[in-house]
Amino acid sequence: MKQNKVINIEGLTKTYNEFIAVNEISFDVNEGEVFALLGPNGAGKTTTVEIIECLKTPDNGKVEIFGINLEDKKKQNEIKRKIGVMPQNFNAFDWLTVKENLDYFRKLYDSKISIDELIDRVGLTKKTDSMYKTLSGGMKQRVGIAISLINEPELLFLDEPTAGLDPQARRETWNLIKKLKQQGKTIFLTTHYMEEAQELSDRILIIIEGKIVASGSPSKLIENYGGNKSIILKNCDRKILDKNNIQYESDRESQVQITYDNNDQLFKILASVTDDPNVEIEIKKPNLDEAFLNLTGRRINDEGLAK
Amino acid sequence: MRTAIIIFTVFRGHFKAWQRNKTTLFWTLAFPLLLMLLFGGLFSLQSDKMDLYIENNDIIQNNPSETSLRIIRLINQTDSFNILEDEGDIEEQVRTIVIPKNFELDFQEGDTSIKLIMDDSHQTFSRTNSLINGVINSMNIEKQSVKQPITLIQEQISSNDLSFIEYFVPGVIGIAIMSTGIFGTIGTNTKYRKNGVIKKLATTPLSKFEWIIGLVLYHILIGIISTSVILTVAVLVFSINIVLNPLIILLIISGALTFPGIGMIISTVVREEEEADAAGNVVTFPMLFLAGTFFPLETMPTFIQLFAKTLPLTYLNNGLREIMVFGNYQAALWNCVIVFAIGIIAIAISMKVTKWTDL
Repeated sequence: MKQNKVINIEGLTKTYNEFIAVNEISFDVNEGEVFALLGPNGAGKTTTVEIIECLKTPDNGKVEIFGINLEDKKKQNEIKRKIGVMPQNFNAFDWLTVKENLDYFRKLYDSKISIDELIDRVGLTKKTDSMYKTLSGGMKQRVGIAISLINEPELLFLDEPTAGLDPQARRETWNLIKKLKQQGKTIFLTTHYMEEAQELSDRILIIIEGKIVASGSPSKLIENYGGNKSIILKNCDRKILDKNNIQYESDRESQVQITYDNNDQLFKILASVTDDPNVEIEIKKPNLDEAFLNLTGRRINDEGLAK
Repeated sequence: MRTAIIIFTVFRGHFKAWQRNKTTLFWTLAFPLLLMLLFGGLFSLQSDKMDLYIENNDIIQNNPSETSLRIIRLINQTDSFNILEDEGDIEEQVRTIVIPKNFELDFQEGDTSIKLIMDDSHQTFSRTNSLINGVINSMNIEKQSVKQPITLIQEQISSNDLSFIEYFVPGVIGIAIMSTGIFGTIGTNTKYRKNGVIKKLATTPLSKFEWIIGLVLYHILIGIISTSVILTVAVLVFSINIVLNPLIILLIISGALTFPGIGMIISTVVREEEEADAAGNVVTFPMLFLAGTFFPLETMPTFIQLFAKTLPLTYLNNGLREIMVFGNYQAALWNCVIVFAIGIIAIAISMKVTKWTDL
């Protein structure tokens, strides 16, 4: 089945003075998928997404959303009506309640959506009449998601939707995003959290210094760049391993790490230690972190900085 | 129709936030009131006695008659007037008493009069009138044979004399409209730009035109509210006479275009919230003192007068004063036209310079 392209970008470039923020990138986003732009802070994620949202003007390249070329400024309003956006560091009006904020944005779109239902969907029913400024960070993000759904958009942009949230609030936001995917929305996510990209997205585009480094589904990226699978054995008798000709690495006295390619090799390793009562076994799956490290030679910390 | 709904939404959002935020309420309502009560109170304490010019025409053999001197003494005993000798410039004198020729003789006959030359719309008129009448009545009682030997006649002049508070009240309204317009707009715009509200709005179909017009409408309403509050308190506390006229609303509208317009322009230059107040002060401070809010421009050096003519608040203050205090429609309208024109230009520039993309 040929998938419908919702976004089509070719050779997109944006510079600020001398600094090239986005450097000739090209990609497509298909209908119904969760697409993640993954990279450290300053990689050009927000610049890219804000160009698509009609917030920034590109220097070069072609951007099409729902087949409408962004160069046609008169049609930008048509695009704005079809998309929902939660910008980075989202905020609504401090002195309006949750409900009033939603009503405000509903009027801007002339939308007929039920606000109470929407508030219920994002789990803020108890906070309906609370002033926005009194909400916690996680709740504010949920208001942001609710507002981005106010015009019942086909395409949703979530720019760093869980930045700065505590683990529980992050989980809740993820569940919300998963629900939206189930409802068939196309979701364009930007994030610097590996776990978030891996958990939510169908397809990931890794971007560093304005350039695309790799793209593909999370499992594909891990398979291609995540390195070998490995098993960690704690408190094991190394002589048995030597006797069975099993190669291992050890960075700690008490444990060894053995890489393997397939299940046969894994069973052979496990069989060799079955008689050792003290051994503890941990199977390590390669993850996106490893893939990212192998691709870029760096890791991203919680603040989104590449090291 | 859709545009109207959007503009109304923006307007209502600003208004609700204003109602709920104690800081903005203070600056738009309490601050001008405090300013008025403080300065109005200070100046009214200072000038407790009213100047009274006396033209005594009852001269007998080069000396004022005994009766005329007696009435002057009685007026002095009320302890309410500074008695001054008539300088012949009736128009410049707020209140003048004229004692006629043959006053003493006619008083004996039981038929004379005293003339009070004063503007009956002046805020001290009723007080002056009743004090002088009291003096006349006390003299009339002696002459019981005649019902009313001395009558008080009032001659109307149009007085340009303003008490400080009459002069000051329109200026307080001007300051309220200016500071809310400039500080309010710079404050909300820098805040909303910094915390991402503007960015969020820019992703919606809301245009910057609708955003700015909604803001102007909000400032018109705030202007009307603060003007009403200031005028009510001014009338209750200082019992001044105010001419109410639709031109006042037109002046408020013109101010609500001008000052938020200037605020919008400044907020495109000022990026940080902390710089916003400083920038607002740079613009409002000269206007506060040089736009004829506290003292008439005529009393200032020529170069300051020339500078004052470049300040929009000068015209707003003049317009409000002409209509509220003097009831001079033509002068008020002329000032209103100037403020309105500046307002249109300021809004046009702010539409041009306000960024809705590439924030």
